[in-house]
Amino acid sequence: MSHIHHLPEEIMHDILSRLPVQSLSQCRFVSKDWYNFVMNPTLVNLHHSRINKRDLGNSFLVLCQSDRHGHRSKLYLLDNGNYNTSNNVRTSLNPLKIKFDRVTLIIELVGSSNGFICLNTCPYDGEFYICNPITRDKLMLPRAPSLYKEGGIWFPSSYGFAFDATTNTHKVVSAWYFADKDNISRIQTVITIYNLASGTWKLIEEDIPCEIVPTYTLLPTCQVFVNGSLHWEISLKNSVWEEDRCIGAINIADEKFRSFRKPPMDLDNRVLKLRTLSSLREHLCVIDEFNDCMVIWIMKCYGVEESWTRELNIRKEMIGSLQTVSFQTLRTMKNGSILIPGYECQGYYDIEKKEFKHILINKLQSRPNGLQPVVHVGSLISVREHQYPIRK
Amino acid sequence: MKDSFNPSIEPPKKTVTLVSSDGYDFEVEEEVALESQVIKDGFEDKAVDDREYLLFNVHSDTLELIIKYCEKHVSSRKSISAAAASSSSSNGEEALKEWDEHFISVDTNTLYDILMAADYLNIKSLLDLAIQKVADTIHGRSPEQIRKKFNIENDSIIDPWASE
Repeated sequence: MSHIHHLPEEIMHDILSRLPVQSLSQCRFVSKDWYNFVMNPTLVNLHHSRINKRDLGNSFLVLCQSDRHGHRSKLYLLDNGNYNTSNNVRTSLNPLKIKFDRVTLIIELVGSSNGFICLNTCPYDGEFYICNPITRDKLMLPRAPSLYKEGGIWFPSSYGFAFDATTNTHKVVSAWYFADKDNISRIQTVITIYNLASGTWKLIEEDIPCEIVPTYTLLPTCQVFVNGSLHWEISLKNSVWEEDRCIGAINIADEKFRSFRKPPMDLDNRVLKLRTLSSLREHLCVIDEFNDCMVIWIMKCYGVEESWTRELNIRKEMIGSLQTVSFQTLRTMKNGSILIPGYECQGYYDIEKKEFKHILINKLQSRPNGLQPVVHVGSLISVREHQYPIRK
Repeated sequence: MKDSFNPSIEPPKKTVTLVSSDGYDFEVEEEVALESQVIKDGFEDKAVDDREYLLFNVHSDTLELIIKYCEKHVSSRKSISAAAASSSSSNGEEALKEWDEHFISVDTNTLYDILMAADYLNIKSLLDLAIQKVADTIHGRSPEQIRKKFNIENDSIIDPWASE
């Protein structure tokens, strides 16, 4: 087929848009013609619109691994369909090298949404990058406008990254809390939102009568994006008790804040080791970890506290060697399986089939809590094209 | 089974003639030719007795393959719907898929010709089959292997990350 170049553009786009993203990414380097074919925004958008329908080959795990002391982080990209779950064969990890604008030691993975990931390279101050881990195209966001108030200091508490389909733009959400030097129990929270299309930060002028539990007091948690809203744990009083914690949500489209209660504590004389907020099958869920099992609650009807339903009970013996590991970084995945990161392996629990699979990953030795995995759907869309004012 | 008592009731099958770019005539049943959306559209516009189509862009070698594909699909569809009507189990869909897979396993030049003809004649299922085949051929190959497979000149675009 020496005449492959002579194929009508439409057909060429149809062919290339069927490829898994990494294969498509490779095609850029076949020739100059192919480079132009692949980078053509029509094709990139066609491919991007197809990936959600055909998830296969476009699903990745982005792993952020921090060292023992949390002083240094490394990023890895793992092809989600490509690991070997049989006979203890180890899957190799590819380091994800991103050239940051300045020396970067600590990286926090904020989240993945619609082809991009968001990284925070300065967790105590908030220095954000949005990047495409497939093309390694990246964009450093301007600093959030500084908040000022007499008598104390503002600290960043939690972050989120999501795509607003109503305005077709990505947004970074950063929550701050005010530490009053005279009265530490005084709570004040504000939220700032960066809009990638307009290129600006906006302060949400809403009085939020609670404290968003800062990320660093918890173990690295994956953000929870359900029903167009980002969710965090919040505490209504300045209290460390689980009972006082609720769920706070910011709607990514109208940027309004709301909160609701978690499911009832249903202990049955058992000791609840941990409660984690997560999502399962597009529903908000809460995972209760006990010594011998995990109980998963689902909010069947979004925002209705009465609709919390005990959906699943996973006995820990089901998950083999990972049961010795704490489940604090347990996440659920869109396809209905649960991802359980361990020391040097990851595990999947398939809810429908009630099956557990191990994934061993080479060279990955870490404290389980030092590993932050995020499920990413790959795309070739360019970060810069979505940025103001280049966008036409 | 009752219908088979008097087979002469069925009218003789209508045929049309397809003429390839190199001047060969192919006489095919009308319903086979109508697999092509282009012929179907033309058929609806034209006078009924004009039953010859000149296909300027399709060589006889390719046309032969295209007709083979359309005939197979017309007959398979009939047997699948017959099996469904008598509610007997049938693996017709799967068998057809297998046949398609075998049909499209051709060298790259032939694949290109089929692709172009399917596009020109607007035979949606065949176009889709051929496009998927090309995509499968590209998938998993390095840029160097793709260049070799499709005989593309290397005009030196360098993968900046290849050395890592």
